[in-house]
Amino acid sequence: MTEVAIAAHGLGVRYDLRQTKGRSLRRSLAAAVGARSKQSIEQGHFWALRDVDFSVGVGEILGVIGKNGAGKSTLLEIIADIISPDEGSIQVSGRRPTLLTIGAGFERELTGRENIRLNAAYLGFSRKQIDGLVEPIEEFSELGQFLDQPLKTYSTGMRARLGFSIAVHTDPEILLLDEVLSVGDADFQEKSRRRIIDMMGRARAIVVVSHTGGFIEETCSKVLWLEKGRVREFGDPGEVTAAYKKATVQLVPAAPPVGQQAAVAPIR
Amino acid sequence: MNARASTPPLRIRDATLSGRVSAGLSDLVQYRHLVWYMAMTSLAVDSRGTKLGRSWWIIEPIALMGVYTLFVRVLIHRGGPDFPLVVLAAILAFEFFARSVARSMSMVKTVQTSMLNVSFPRSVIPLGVTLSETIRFFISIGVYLLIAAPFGFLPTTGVFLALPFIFFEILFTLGAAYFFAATGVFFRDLSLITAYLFWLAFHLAPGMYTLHMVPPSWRKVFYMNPLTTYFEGLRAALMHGRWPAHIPYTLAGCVFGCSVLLCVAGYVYFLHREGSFNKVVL
Repeated sequence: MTEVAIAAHGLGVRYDLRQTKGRSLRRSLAAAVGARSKQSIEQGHFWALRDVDFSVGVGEILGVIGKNGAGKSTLLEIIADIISPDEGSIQVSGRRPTLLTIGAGFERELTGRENIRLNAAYLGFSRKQIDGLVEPIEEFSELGQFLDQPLKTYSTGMRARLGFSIAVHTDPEILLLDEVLSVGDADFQEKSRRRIIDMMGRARAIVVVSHTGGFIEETCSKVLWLEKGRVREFGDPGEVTAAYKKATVQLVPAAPPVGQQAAVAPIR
Repeated sequence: MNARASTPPLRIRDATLSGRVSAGLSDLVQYRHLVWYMAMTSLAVDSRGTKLGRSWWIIEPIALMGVYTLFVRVLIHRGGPDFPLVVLAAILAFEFFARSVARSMSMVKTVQTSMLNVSFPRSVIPLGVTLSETIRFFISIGVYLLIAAPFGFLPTTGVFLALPFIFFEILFTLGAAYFFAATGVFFRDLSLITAYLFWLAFHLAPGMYTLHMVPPSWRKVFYMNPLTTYFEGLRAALMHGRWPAHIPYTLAGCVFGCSVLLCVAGYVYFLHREGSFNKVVL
């Protein structure tokens, strides 16, 4: 019997809209509000996830697919222990599940090198471990002398590159990937892809959120399709992604016949 | 895939209060390096980019002392002997308290990106901020002793009597920092209210005057404000190297005990609320 790395039972995450006002509301729910029933929102709360059951064995890779606002990122946040479920339970067996995101914990006034140390400290590394991490991260980021400049002087691309370099050097047992494969130029992306594949080889279990169906289909052992916060399908990658593609295609309106395109009125 | 054997389940949450506190304290030990790094970062960021840099740590309380001296001694001809030192001691104790609490509240917002992306014990935030302010507090006390020398107050071994007052004020401040930081996430107006509330507390304690100048019938009212004990204690130890004349040991014991209780209660309250931080806009 396969040892379970992540197991979720009846998982539910609820947002109280009377408290959740402002930026977090926009960030977490804006995309979702249009996609879900307005009934629960009118009742003053909103379920970002509900009745979610799945399990991931040791050595398996779980792909999570779904439209914007389906609850994919919320699921990763629960696994990473960033938010707590309001219903059900989740058990994660593995040291330090790490959500690979770009630029978390950056301080504008600090230099790139100082930010490497701060980020590693956020992840719970000891001073000795951080000392060992700094040099490989510096090399990987290819930021050279900019690492001694305050972060406020960095371009968006440079920040993303530094954030990604830190993230891929944390070596977690449970690896959580949320659309992180689009940072930097083509060379850096290729280097990043190789690094992630290397991390995948050493991780205890992996959860990948991606809109790139091909990547999910090729690499995952199981796929979880979320829709409006609930599990639509869970199982074989080929079958689930095929069903997802079919459902997505059905939702896209057919292009008008060529002859009718000219009927669209120009914007004045 | 190379699965690592015998790794324990990560943070299985114990819903009981004792379970949360136990897990929280264990987290603080594991993340002690982050506490230290947050404190150092806070100190570094505080002065970086300013022309006078860390000199502001010394200039700020002295400037406040100068303003009060100008207003009280020069313009309205009030204030007792050695007024600049009397008011500066209180300002140092007050600034430590007020800055620690205010900055803990703002720091919860500053690190929101990290909180939304990384799982780390949020309780390190007030602890890191209070640690950085404690470092500033001790530096300011050193400067105070230098300033006091020309006034004829040379430090003696009695200066060490300030240590219990400093220690318990740190616990009092940490408890308040935990309480206000956790509440401020859900009630935004609190950061604006506290600015006035704290200055009111300063003026309802013997900050610009000594307790000796307060009529004995009114002293009991002042005793209800913990800042009274801390202002008087720091002032008496730093200036005269002795225990404060108008602070009985029983009162000091009560204030110290309440400070410990506030620290514990504030920490437990923070742990109780931190699970909901990420569901609320920061």
